Amino acid sequence: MNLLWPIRFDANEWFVLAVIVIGYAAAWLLPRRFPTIVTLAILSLGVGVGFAADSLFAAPPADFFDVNDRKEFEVFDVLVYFQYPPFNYIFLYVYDRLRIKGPAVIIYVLLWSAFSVLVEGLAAHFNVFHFTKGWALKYSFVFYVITQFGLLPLFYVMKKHFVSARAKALSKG
Amino acid sequence: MAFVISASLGITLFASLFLTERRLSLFEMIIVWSFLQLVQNQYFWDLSLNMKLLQIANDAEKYTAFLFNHLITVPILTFYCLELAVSATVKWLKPVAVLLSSAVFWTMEAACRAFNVIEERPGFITGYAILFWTGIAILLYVLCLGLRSIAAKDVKG
Repeated sequence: MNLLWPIRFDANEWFVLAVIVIGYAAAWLLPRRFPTIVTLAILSLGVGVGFAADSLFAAPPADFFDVNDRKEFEVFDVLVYFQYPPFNYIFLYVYDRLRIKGPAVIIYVLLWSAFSVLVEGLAAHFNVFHFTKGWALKYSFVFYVITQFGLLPLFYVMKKHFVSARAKALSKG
Repeated sequence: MAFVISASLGITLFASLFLTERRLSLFEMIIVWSFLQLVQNQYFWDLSLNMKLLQIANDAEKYTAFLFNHLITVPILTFYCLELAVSATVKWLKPVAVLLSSAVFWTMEAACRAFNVIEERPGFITGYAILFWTGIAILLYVLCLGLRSIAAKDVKG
C-alpha cells in the first residue's frame, strides 16, 4: 500500500478531523439504545455505502468529484469515509427514539437530507470535495434521500432479525 | 461480454442469498460487506491511482462489470466461504474455506484481467496480490468469529 500524505495540512484536513471528532463524540454521548452488534452494523454501513457510492460517482468514468488535495488516493481520503458512520447512527437513533411514523417520516428524511447537504456543502467549501463535470449539491440531496429512505427498511429488518435471534436463544435456555 | 457475465453472475448470486439458508447473520453480512468495500476500494484505488500498477477500464460497460464484481459478486462469494469456515465441524475444512475465500478474491481479479476490465501494468506482481488477499481472508475469518461472540453476548442480554 502506498497511501499519500496531504500536500499541505490545512483547512480540508482540519475539517475532516473536526467532523470525525464531533460526530463520534455526539454518538458516544447518546444513551445506549441498540445492542452492540446492531450498532456495529449501522456504523459499518456508513463506511461501506460511502465507499460503494464513491466507486460509482468519484472514480472514472463518472469522475464527478475529487477528494482532498489531489486526484490520487491519500490518507485523508480514507478518513473522509469515517465521517459518515456517526451520522448514520444518529439518524437512526433519533428516528427510533422519537418513534417517528407516517408522514412525519418523509419530513424527517427530507430534513436529514438537507442537513447532510449542508455538511457536504461545508466540506466542499473547505476543499474536502471538488465537484467536476457539473456535479452539484442538488444531486447529492437526491442521493441522500434515496440512501436514507433505503436505510429505514433495512433498520427494521435488523431490529426484527435481532429480536428473533434473541427469542431463539432464550427458547434454547 | 464482461458486463453480461458479471451482471448475470452478480444478480444470480444476489438471488441465491434469499433462496438458500444462511449461516451468517444479517449483521455479519452487513459488516463483512462494508469491510470489503473499504479494503477493495483502497486496494484498487491505491494500485491504480498511486502506484500505477493496475489500470481499471474507463469505458462505462467494463466499469459496470467491475462494479458488479466488487459490490455484489465478491462479497456474496465471500459470505459463502465464511459460512463454510465458521460452521465447519471438520477441523481441516476451516482453513480450506479461508483459503477458498482468498481464492475468490484473486480469481475474480484474474477474471477481470482476462476480460480487460483491469489491465496489469509493468511491475505488478501477482504473488503479492495473492498474499494480500490471503491476509484479508484470514482477517475476515477472525472478524466473523469476533462478531459471533459479540452477537452471542447481545442475544443473551
